[in-house]
Amino acid sequence: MSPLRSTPARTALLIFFGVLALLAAGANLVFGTAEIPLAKLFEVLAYKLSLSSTEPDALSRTVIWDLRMPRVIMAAAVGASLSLSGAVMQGLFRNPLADPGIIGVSSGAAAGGVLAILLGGVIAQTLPDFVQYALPTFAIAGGVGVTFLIYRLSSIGGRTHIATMLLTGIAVNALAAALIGFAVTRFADDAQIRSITFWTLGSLMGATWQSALTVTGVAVAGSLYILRQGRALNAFLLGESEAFQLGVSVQTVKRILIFISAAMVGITVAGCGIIGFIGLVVPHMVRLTLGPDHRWLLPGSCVLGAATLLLADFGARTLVAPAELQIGILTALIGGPFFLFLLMAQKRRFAL
Amino acid sequence: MLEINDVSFSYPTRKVLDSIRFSVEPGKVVALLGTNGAGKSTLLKTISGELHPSSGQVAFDGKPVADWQPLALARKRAVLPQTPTLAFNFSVRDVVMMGRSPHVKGAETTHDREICQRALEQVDLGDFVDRSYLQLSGGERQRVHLARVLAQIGEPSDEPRYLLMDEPVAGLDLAHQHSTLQIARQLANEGVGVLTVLHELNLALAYADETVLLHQNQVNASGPTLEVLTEERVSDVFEVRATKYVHPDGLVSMLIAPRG
Repeated sequence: MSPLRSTPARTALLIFFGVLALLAAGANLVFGTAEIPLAKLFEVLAYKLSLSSTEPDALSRTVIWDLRMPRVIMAAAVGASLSLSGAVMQGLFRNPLADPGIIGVSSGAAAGGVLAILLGGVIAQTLPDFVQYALPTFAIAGGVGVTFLIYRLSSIGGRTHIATMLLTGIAVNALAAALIGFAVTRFADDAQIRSITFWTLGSLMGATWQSALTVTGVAVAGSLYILRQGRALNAFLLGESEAFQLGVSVQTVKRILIFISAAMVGITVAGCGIIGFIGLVVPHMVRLTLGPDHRWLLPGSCVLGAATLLLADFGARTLVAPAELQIGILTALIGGPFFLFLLMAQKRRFAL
Repeated sequence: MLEINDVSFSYPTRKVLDSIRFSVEPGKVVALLGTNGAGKSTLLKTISGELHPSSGQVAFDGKPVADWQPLALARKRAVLPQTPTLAFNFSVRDVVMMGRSPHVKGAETTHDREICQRALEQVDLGDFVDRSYLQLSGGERQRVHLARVLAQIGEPSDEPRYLLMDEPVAGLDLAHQHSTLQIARQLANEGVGVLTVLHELNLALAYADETVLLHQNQVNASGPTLEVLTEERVSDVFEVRATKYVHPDGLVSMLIAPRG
């Protein structure tokens, strides 16, 4: 199957991804343990957006606006951030296997987050004003640090060595797992450490308006830069030398892109733990349908990423209702086999 | 004018270029010849601005290469790499269109698409625009990249333009070796300064106005091709037996045989 090449067809597909995201968001707002009729949804939305003065009942208001809405916004922002970061890293590393989870960026961020909690007491004493920012800051630092490390370790003469990249991921993932395991078992009574599964399998359950808007803010700010670098990322696919010859300020653009994409991963991990494979699967699906041109791949990944995580969260909330599935279990169940499939397809071409 | 002024380059353990000095005038085809390891590729990288010389200077139109903004430089000089790699499923049009990226602000125009189409026709791939790049043969890919650099600097302009090519005929069949250099010749006639690394002496003799012969990291000789590629010098540098042959139409070729 070859991807769509014409602009109208690509635009139509992009709009379809957007509609899919809106439908998934609607489904997440309507369905759940508390049954709320569809009419109530519009009533609450109209009231909250000051379009109507009819005041809906308190239960509908609380469930839709205070519980489900932040979670929907969080899911959309996290899905878009992870997919966009995945697309950027795959472009920079010139390899479709570069997923923030697999190469260790997410683990690095999680380790940073756990470290922030472990050091909570010290931070509270020395920098009391910094306490509430410590977790996201440490998570972002962890993600960014790991990404630069991978880049240094696996780039040889402007080309990325696939095996080194994946091996770095193994090492970082193991280190982070050890740190998280240590923290969780040693400080099991600390509510802040939360459960080990929060960090390793992710959860959108704790989403609040504040955390959702923080992640959204970073996602929007990052996308504003990334979405304008489509042409530069296309040139990167030819190689760093070729990108320079085509007029890209390679070192500057590369550093900014690495920083932003890793920071976007970091902030999602701080907000809802590690949700794997989204950054791998979504850009790949977009490449199959819209093609590898980053000017379409980047916006496509954003929108389809939001839709995908919203759908996954819908599955997580409804499949085993009234209980809830860890969302990372769902994404791994779909993403894991997908990664193996990609590996087999690549083995023929690259010879790992 | 592209000037290479006493350029030296060293890796930590060894010197690769030793006081290289020559120039490429717009409108000329200059061949860069030399034995393996003589420093041809490194020299091309210092000229393109990718590597910084340890001493000496490369200047385009009087301005040192390090002082050029990458984007402004990309409108003036294009580089055809030796073995371009691209592992993603682009269409041929997309790849050639990348050559327009230093010129385009916002979306590509009909003008850009015309330039791409013309570039593909020049390299004999006019019907290939919608083909998938990954499905092409090695030689066809090489020609797609030639079309890409043509799209980058092929458009006539009052500004001097330059094309650097690193072994552009490697992997091409005989007919396309010649058509590639005919394209280089044509560009030079339109005012582009072309510097190309070559291994085949007869291609240099047929197409290059001037030749720079690198040997043991230094310029062994440079000047008009016929004066540089003498039987004696070729025998000496490449350690072969070289015999001049003049075709009935006056074109000079070199017959190469092992040393007796």
